[in-house]
Amino acid sequence: MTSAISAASRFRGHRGRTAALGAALALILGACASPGANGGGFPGAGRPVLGGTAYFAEQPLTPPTYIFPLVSGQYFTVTNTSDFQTLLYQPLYWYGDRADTSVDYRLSIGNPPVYGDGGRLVTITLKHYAWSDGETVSARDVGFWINLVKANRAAWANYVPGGFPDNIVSWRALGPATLQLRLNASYNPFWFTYNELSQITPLPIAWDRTSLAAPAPSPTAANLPDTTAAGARAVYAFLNGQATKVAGYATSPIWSVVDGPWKLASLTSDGTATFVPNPSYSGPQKPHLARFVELPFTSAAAEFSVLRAGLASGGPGTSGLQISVGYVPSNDLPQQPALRSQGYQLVRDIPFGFDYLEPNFNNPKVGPVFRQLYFRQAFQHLIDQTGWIHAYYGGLGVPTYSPVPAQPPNPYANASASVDPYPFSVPAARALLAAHGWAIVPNGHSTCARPGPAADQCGPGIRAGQALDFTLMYPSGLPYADGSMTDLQSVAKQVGIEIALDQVTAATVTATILSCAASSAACSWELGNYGAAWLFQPDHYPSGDEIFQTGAQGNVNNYSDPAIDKLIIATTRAPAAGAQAALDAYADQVRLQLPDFWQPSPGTLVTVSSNLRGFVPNAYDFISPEEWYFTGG
Amino acid sequence: MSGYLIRRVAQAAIVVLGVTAVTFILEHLIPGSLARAILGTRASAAEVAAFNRANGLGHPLIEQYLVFLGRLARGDLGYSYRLNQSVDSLVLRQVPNDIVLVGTALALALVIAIPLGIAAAVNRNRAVDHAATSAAFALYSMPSYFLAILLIAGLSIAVHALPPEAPQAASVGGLLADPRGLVLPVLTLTLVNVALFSRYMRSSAIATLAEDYVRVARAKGLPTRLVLGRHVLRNSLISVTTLVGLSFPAVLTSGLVVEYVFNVPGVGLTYYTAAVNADYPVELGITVLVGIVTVLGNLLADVAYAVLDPRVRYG
Repeated sequence: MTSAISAASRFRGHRGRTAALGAALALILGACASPGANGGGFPGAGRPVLGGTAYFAEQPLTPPTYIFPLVSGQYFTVTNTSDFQTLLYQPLYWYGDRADTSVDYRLSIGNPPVYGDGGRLVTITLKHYAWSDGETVSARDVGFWINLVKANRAAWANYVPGGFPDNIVSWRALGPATLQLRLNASYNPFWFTYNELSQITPLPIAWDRTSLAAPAPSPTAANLPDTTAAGARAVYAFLNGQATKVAGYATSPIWSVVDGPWKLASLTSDGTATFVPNPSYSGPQKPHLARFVELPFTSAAAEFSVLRAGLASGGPGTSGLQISVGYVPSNDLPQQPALRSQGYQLVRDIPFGFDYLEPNFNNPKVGPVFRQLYFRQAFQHLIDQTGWIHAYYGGLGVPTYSPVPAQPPNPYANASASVDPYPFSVPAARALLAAHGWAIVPNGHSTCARPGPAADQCGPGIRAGQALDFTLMYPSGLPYADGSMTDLQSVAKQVGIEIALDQVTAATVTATILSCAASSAACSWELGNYGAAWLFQPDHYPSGDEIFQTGAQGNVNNYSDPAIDKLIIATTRAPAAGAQAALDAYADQVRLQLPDFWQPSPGTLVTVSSNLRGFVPNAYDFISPEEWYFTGG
Repeated sequence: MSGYLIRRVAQAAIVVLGVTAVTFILEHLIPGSLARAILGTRASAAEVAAFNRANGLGHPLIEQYLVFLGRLARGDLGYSYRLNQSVDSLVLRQVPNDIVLVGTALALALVIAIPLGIAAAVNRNRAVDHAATSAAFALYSMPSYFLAILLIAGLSIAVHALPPEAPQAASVGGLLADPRGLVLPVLTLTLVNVALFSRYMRSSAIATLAEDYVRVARAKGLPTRLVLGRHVLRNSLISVTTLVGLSFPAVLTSGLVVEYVFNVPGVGLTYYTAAVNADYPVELGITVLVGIVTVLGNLLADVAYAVLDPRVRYG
């Protein structure tokens, strides 16, 4: 039996349909999603004008720095991956169907994958796409990517042990446009499509070489370097070396071979990237703009000044360029009326993810406290998510009640994802603590009065007289984090919990909040807040295998629950028909078990020029300027 | 003089070496995993190991420091962990921006502050002095960030007279080709420096005006213009010269706020960002550079003393 993943079958109403129906539906939808249906057209309102230059504000101090899609963690930034590389080198599948979280098969090189052999075999057919050197994007190009990643796992930011490409036993080109992957187990086809196939970017065979002196190889040539591990390592070393020559990206014989809608015309040393339409682009969404320019900024404040100054300050080629698509810094959100009066369209961008505080379960001092479910419930009752969004997030955030979040709208979240299981309530927190043996001292230090493991006692490992004192580390410079953490500190005092706030740099948070053995010095951290949400990027399926599973890379707070582990494994291995049920079971348990403390997930307010259309925030923060166009009159 | 210079240069080299050692040690005392800070929480153990191997982080600290010094001796300031470029190229690109912005502001500030300070001293406790003193206090007590935002709000956003950001050119020629874009950042830096320099100049000039040789010059009937130009100005400049000498490293570092607000990629902001992001090679490279410029600035100030004051003798 085979099953297919289609955009329509992602929606809950289609859950549980037979796999065969899913396959048929996918074919029909694939046929409907021809360029003429929507692609290449003008999706928004207004009289479209072809041409023009759109200016896009890069995030502060993160210019494009790395062009090769096989990117290491050093250069793994939204600017590099979502705003730069994907414009030039199209991933196999395009994730995010405008604001929806589904695959946009219309913009994808691959047709919906077909699963067989009980989920162990994946067959992918490719649409006709061409490289700018005249070659066709082929199954061999996908194989080239797989070979490179297999041989260079340690250099790849997206590598997860056991995940792609470890779970690919072999790949085989069944024809120029058909590829078959043999998997090492039977996987949930939704999980595999959204978490594993999302890792693939076909690469041109012109890159399959180890020196510029050698001629670009032909796709039909045998024994190309990537076919052996040593050769693939040499090819990677060569390409990574070429990627260090940032100033030469636009003219490089390597990097100028593209299959995306854009070609890089120039990249300045400070990060101004200018793109022009790729005349060889054979996909469905050809650019309407004549140029697309990404502008670097030293700060959000500088970007906002340019936004507020508007057109009057200058023109192209000078300072004070108009920003076609920009963003409002969080502390400037109150200036929305002024921006509207300038004519900007204001668009809320809530990426697909959730936010949380990390309690360290292995910390020798406070770990035993965090291991008590009643305590985690009490602590969660002290987090006023709705109040924080209103007071500190400028209304631009969504509460987190589940690891499969309800917002942005997606086909995965069930009804309980919108219900707060532990609503803000100081009395509820106080009652839970008191019922478990704590002597509550409001505005003082509550202490454990009844130590022991019984149901009405503090819990194993907690000493008599132990106080509820924690140090909470979070990054400085984020007004919403500052406000909400101060609020939490104040509210916690009401039940005798003392939270010492420790503001550090974001890099220090990342370097400190790590999984650790209880006995190690590195396990001294107690509570952490990254100041940024967990986004389902580059793995787009909201399973918990990378964050809540025992030993997972993202499981930095040492959470471990065998029952949750089983549920997580089920989300990755369930057949298509049972995929949603497995996801529901996982989400319903995790939202109640609180492996982390849920807090609001922040969003971004995007500004769009009054005469620009076609911009829709992508659920995973990819940009598609080829869909943008100006209107006149 | 040459012996003095040789001794000072040797001392300077030791100072710079000490600064690099202290910075290097402090960087490595920061708790947590550097590799994780750079690669992020999702980095695999293999990726972390590869990063540590590639950057020699598994070796003893002293060995890492010696490798750094070896590279430094060859003129190699290192390679940024995050920016995919050498620190040399980063600095070479950004220093000209800083020289144009901060250098212009310093020069303008001196041109304004010196006569203003003398005028305030000559008119001590009169209206001119009160006005200059009030303005200097107001500007000096105002954080430059606030001043910059005020200028943008008034001149860019309210009346659209000037751009809110500096010219976005990659070369000095490009920067200078768009003088309107330079006005606000240069003005911000100039106003703060005028406040500082004019106060020093005023104090120094008041002291000089009370000197016997000034009284003698006046008693001899020398015109006021010549008294001020020949005697007061030259002798009062000594204290300002110290300040200017100390301001040399500020060319690289004091632009931080202006770079942040006016969208100019410069050394000050790059240094700050490197510190925040644990980009140690950039931090160390700029530390070395600033150390050298600081010592050089002091050296030049000392030489200037000798030129301004013949009594100063160096063995």
